[in-house]
Amino acid sequence: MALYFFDVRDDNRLYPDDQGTEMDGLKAARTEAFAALADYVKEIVPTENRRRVAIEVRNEKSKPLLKAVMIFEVEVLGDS
Amino acid sequence: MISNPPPGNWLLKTLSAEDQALVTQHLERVSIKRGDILEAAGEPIPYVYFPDEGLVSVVARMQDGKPVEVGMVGREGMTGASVVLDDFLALNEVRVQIGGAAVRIPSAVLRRLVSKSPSLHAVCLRYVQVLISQVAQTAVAAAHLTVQARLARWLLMVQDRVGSDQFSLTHELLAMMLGVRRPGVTVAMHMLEGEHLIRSTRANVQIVDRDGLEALASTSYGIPEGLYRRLFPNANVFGGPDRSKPASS
Repeated sequence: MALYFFDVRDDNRLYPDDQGTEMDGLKAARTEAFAALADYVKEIVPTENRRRVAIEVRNEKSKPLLKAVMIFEVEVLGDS
Repeated sequence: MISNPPPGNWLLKTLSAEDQALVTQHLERVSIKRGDILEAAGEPIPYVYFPDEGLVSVVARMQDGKPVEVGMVGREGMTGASVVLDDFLALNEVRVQIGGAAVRIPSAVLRRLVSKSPSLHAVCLRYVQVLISQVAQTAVAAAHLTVQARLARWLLMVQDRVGSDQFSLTHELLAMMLGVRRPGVTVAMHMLEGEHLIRSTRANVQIVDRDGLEALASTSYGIPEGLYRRLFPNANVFGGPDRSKPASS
């Protein structure tokens, strides 16, 4: 088990994780990051036409380990 | 064994003098510590606890062990719903989340007492009714609310039960209890903090704006609390909005 930190970056807004979570290796952390991203985008209503949400995983020494990114793109094709 | 009714637990305080006399001689004061398992799923229940400090969770698990909190008990209630419903095995795990103090009574004794005193049994059953309502609202919240709103509801419920606007809990525990991924909790906490509803430091949460949290939790908070007020008019313990009537569609 190791401590992983999951920072969320929603466009330019950063939600840093200051507690970390014990996880069973990077593979588990990777699964967590992707699943969390999917959970998160379910809950946001994008008001802009493009939005980028990322979860950045780092270790205890703040070394970046991976980044999971999801990009929303809305194209308005007509107005009624 | 203790000689006086404990001051802390609201349910015990609502008992009639006769029922208090019946129960009190069998009560034993104990401290409860975070992580203590008061009931194990599928196992006989040794004691029924009436907390007066701290917080106890009813935790249901998937077959692989993944937990989610389905009920919360503090100074307003009691553990051991099965016992008063004439079962003797625990449906779920009951574990201490925030340490404190409680009084407890052996399950067999409580079973005997409720068969002797219909008024004592009625108090226990009414509380189980409130608990059922709470579990239903937890299901509604899990199905329809954002993590942020569920977190607001959860914090209000904790504050009611521990009687303090400050308590210690980790994001990891919160994620486990709400059945959400860790990063979701981190974001939700930051959002509540950004709106000045809470203050959060490492493993510690302080409620700053209770009204704001109630607005956010919306109708997911208040129905069991209103029911409690209706069934225990003398207890007059929960604050919060009156949502004792079900929401109309």
